[in-house]
Amino acid sequence: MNRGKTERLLNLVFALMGTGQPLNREKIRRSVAGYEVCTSDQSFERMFERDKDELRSMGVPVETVTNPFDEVVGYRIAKDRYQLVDLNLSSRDLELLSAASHVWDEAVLNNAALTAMLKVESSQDKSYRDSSLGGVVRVRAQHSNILPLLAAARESRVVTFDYKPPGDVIEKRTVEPWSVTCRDGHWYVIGYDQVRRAQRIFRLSRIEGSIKTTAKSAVTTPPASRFPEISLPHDESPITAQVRIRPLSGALLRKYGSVIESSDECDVIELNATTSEIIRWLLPAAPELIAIQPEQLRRDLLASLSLIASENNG
Amino acid sequence: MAENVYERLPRLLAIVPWLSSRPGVTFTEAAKHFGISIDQLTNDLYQLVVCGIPGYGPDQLVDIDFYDLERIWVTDPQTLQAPMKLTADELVAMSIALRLLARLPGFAYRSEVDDLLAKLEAANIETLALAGEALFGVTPQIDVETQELVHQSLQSKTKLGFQYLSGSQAVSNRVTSPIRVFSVDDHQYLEAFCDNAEASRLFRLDRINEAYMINEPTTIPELDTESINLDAVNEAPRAILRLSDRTTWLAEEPGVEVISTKPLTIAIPYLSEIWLARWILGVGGGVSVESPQSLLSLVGEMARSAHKALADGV
Repeated sequence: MNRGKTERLLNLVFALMGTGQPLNREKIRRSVAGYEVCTSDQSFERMFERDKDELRSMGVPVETVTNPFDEVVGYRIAKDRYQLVDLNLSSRDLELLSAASHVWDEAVLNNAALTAMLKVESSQDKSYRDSSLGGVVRVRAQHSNILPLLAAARESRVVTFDYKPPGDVIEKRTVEPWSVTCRDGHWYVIGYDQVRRAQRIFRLSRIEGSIKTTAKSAVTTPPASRFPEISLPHDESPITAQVRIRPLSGALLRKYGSVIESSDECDVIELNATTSEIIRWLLPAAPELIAIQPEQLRRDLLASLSLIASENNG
Repeated sequence: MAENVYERLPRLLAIVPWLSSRPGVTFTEAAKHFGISIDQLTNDLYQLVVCGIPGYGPDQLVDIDFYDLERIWVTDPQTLQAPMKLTADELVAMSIALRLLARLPGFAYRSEVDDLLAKLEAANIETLALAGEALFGVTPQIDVETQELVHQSLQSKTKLGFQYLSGSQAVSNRVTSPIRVFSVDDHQYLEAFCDNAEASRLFRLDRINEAYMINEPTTIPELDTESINLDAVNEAPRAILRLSDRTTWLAEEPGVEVISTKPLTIAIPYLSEIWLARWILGVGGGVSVESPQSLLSLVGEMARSAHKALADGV
């Protein structure tokens, strides 16, 4: 069954590539080995449609040739659209490609990278494997929804999926995907939410099941950068705070603020950010804090510390 | 034998040109190259030689001489002299991987990668329009200056100094001899011999602050080849934490395992108790330690004493 299908598809590729004139359906049915099993017109139509779609999805450029009246005259595969031209690769190029093909260790693009490498090597008379450059970059993008989302983004199609925000119920979302991106080891899809009428970012691990790609085209145009900075909406405005802290502590405070005074006993760090951000940076360094201004920030921090102490009283 | 047509057909299409450019290649070599067994390869070959262009006479079939089951000669590849062009996914997989490699600090062949990308793009111009590499983002959030300094230090084998902001909030000044940089998803790590620790250490590039070059050649003791064990975390002890409604998002953090949903309780691996205690403080409430008891006491004590110090002070 499986063998028969592979054989039929192979014969179809040979026939469509070997032909000068486009082959019409009758000719294909009569001449290509494998279609003789079709007992009715309908079963041939169904089989041929599926074969054609499958070849295209594997990247085989099956062309539909039409006449000036937009009627289908036949099908063919143009050699120059099918064949990978000689890339003139140096052995360094092959080494780099080999290293690149190992980046997707178990990730969704791994298979694509490996088949790309097989094709490139097929046009060479030498092989190059086991690069010393390999293994330094790894991308572990394993969500099965990544490839369909990328395909939908490049074809400007609308997708739907079930999404469960943290602590909330599952909801069906209708989205025009723009891009897939990794931030801090988590994977997200960025796009336009048709119901909320705004750009949104969705974490892939919160999508339940598989996305569905609809036949509908996107109605909005993605922004020039498909990775707009989408921060969570907050109404807080930034404040300026000064923190007195023991030397060599408070890594986050030093990352986001600047040291304006420094002595053996303490450093003074100035920060400009929202209260909740500053609290988040202050808390891990709480034991080394000496003083905090403004007063409201100090009270907010004390409230958080009380809460944590009461939750961990044992 | 349940191999699907999506794996099989692309291989059959790639195998013919690969064999054609290697007359007399052995079965062992070919099977190894395509990652299949000798039986599978034999099967593939028997399948290929019954396919061809319509008519299917002796001159119309693929002709491969392999009947001694040792060496393979392609006599007539029919229309398959050249491999197929790269598909959109293949092109995306390769070009993203190449760019990630080239961007890695210390990578020696940046301009070679640029030339290679230009070759790939020229050969696949039609696919490229569809490839939409710009739709997939894995960009390390590391400032350009730090990346450039690490790159220069690796290239010139010169020592690098910096302030390191550790995950446990400690800040330390380091003098290091960089060995290499590698990346996992959007994180980059520097492996370096650290003069302060007198041992190899891993540093996350986004936690390196105020880097500067030290005009001294790097010194990396030869015996220090004990590579850093990234899997250490797999054998690490685990803390059990109970979450509240506002901290359910923690259950999705990498490495975290949900052990009960009512109340939501997670197990999290840790290498240092003080690190985890500060991390819990940083969450800002909504996390109660169930075990170990020592961690519970530590978190409670840190929150209470910090509260006392800040409430009394100023």
